[in-house]
Amino acid sequence: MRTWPFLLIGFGALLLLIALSAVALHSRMGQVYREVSIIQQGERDNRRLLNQLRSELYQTAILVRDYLLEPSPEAAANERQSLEELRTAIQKDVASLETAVQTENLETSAGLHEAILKYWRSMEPIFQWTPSEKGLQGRAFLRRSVVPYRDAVLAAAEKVGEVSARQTLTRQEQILQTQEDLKSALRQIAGFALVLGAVVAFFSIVRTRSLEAAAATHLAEIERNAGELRNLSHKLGKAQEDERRSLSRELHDQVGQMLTALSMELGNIEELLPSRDEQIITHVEEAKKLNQETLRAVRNISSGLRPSVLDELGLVPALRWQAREFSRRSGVPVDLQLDGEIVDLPEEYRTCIYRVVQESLTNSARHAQARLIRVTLHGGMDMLCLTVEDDGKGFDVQQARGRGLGLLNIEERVRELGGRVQFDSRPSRGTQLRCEIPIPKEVAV
Amino acid sequence: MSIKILIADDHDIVRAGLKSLLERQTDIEIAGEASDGRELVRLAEQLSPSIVVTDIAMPQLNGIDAAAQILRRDPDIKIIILSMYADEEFLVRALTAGVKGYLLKDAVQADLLSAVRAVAMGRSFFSPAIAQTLAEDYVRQLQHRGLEDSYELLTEREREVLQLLAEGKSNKEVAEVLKISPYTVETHRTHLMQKLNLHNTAEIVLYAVRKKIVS
Repeated sequence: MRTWPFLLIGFGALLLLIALSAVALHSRMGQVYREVSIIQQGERDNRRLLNQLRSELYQTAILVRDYLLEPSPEAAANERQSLEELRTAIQKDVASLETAVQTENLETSAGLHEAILKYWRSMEPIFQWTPSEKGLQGRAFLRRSVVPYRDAVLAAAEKVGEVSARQTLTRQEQILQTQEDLKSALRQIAGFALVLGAVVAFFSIVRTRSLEAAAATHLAEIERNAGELRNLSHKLGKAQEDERRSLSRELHDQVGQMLTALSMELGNIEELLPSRDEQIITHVEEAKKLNQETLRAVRNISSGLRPSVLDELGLVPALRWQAREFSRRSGVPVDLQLDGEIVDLPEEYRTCIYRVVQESLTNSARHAQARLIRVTLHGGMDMLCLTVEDDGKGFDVQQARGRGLGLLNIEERVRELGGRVQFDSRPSRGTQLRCEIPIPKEVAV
Repeated sequence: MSIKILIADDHDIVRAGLKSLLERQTDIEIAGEASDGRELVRLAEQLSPSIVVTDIAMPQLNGIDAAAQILRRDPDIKIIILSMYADEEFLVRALTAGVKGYLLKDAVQADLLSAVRAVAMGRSFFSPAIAQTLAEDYVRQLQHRGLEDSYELLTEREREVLQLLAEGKSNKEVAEVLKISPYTVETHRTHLMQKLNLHNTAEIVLYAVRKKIVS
């Protein structure tokens, strides 16, 4: 079963939800902030306008009083001028206030308007008055007419202020409500994401666990197989070596000895022949020659399989023999340098070194076209160190490993004895093989 | 007086062949037969033969090691190795052990009697085929190393000494043959060994066989 499409969808949805919530939250927060600040700004502006209106109204009352009390007509004209200016300002403020508070509450707005109108109208008579009239009726007028009208305007303004405050409150409540809506939407999204996340996580964990278990089983199986393969190849190598040895010995012991006896019998026949018949003698001579050649062939085959030098005389003579035989066949001189403790090695070590050298020499001659090969074997206290170097054309180690069994054979043989192999070869720079084989204490002689 | 011979080979058929070959000679007497290395050493001690003819590959103890043990006890016994192999390694080991003769099995019929007679007279004997193989290897080695054969460097006297030593004679015997003092022989021996880069008697014999000075 393929898991990744499900995980892709699951995690995708999860991430999408998170991203969506973040975006929504972010834009909503910005909007709320903007709305709140607009409301607050409006509220502040209204309050400021109201305050201004209030102070201007008080000023009008003061100006009216000053006007009434002012005996000089020039100064009074000035007061009146100021009053007109104030009136314009108030008109403007009221207009602003009306736009700000808007038409939601027309009644209140109209109330303010009317109160102001009445206030102005109540003042109009005083401008017709002579200075003496002003002096006589001024105070009473102020008390009776100006102040009450002014207070009515103030009250109306107060009402407008209240309306504005209520409006602000309503808007804030609206904002709070949208906030609550957003909150609950977010809660739902978060809940959904949590459930989805839990499902995806559970699924992922279960799946990962089962995959890991399967991988571990596979790995163990592969390792077991590799081990079996190594074991098998070890057995195969050993079987091959045993087979060679027994075949070589069989040839040498059985066939070889019989041919030896045959050669002696032929000698006896030759000696015992009663007549010196030329024809018979020729045939016996021919038979002897054939026998000799057969014996030589048997000897060569037997040595090729496994040289008796190795079993009868040991590793050092066997290596010398091999080097010489190799040079004889290939024409490539072999420089053999042996030193240290290499006598009395156990059979498997002798065979290993012998076969590794054999394999290397064959490789050098066959693939590298070497002109000189140097074989060095050094026996240390607990380590055998073998190097085979040639001056041939070299090769790419990785490529060569895949091509033939030669290098693999060498590695396999050396590894069986717990040793290490290192190939150093580059095209046109010769080849160096280096093996280090530890000799366990109980094996060392 | 007949020559007492002890033969050793782990194959009855080969022993029988050797016996029939030797018994026909009136001056040769088969003292005994051994079928492995240990038996050979034991019988050699019991029977004190003048000559031992032995195979190399034998159970228990190989012929060369048996020869070395026999010679340690009785250096007068002459030993002839019978082998299927003409390889230098076997020959060197055999010479180092102190054998006097080395025969190839494929030429045993032709060479055995000559070898027995030569060894009985105190000389060495090697199958001509061995000399052939060794000489070829020697020439090849010299070529590889770009060396000249240093035999040309030897004086007439040194060559005589080399041949007599290779034939198995001691310094004293060489002195008697050449009618010079054993010390002079020793001097010649040292010189020729230096010139030829040889280190012991086995190498002298090997060299002589290669050069076909002896056979």
